[in-house]
Amino acid sequence: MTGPRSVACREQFELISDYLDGATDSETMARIERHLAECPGCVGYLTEMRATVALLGTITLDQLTDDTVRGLEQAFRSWRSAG
Amino acid sequence: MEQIDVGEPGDPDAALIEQLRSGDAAAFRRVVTEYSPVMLHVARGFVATRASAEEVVQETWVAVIRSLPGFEQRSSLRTWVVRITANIARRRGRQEARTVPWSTVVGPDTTGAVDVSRFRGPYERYPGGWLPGAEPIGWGPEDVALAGEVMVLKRALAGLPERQRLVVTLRDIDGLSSDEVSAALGITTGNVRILLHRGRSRLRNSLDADYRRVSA
Repeated sequence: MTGPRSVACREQFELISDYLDGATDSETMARIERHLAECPGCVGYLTEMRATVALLGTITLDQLTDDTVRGLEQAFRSWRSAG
Repeated sequence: MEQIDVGEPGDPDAALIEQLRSGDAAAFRRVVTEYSPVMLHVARGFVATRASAEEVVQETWVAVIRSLPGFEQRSSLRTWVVRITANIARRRGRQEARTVPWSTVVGPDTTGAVDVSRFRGPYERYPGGWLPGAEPIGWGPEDVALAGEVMVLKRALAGLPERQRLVVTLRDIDGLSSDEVSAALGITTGNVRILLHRGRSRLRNSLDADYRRVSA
């Protein structure tokens, strides 16, 4: 259901990432929230986007190899003893 | 996830910096473990291989060790380290004659991130609304965790267009702010937000497809 001042679902989802990060201006935020108040689909989408971001926060992707770390620790120790 | 703003004075870092300056090896190991993931991710924005990225990070830590006495804490320690990483990675990327084309965001990944057939057409009743059966159902983190969705998410992340993958990784995995991502990669915060939106939408779509599959 779309009113004259609310944001159609298709438009809404373009804004949802910014809304999640608090990066929308207050007028846009108010329009989005008016739409969310009457659209379970978009509320669902926002929930899923939040869950996606939360799940991303639990992931650890990359780390240096042990060899590299050992080499760096050695460099640190010799820098300290020279300093 | 904790956000550190660009330019914030390093008060929370004060103890750590003191330990590093006094040669505390355990503190050094801690900071290497904590910062190297985001440094690797930043480096991958400029160099072609994982091996190159690792060398960039190695070179950066040596530079950090040497420069630590002169660090004035005008920004947080991590912001400073990330900045050095980006500079070294950029230089190395030029040497390797390979850069991610940041100068333009227009490319194959500019299509809308949700299949537009899921929305009503402009002439239908309630134009632009979700079509029945395509409406998001609001699955939450507990739903996706139980279904082993971390693997699905990692696969989907690996499948993103490169620029989207880098921005989503730095923002949502490494916890950099939009300003920090913008500064590290040399793109506007506007472009950061566009790439972030597209990447997150695609990841959400992958999780949604999997959720519907396992709960069908």
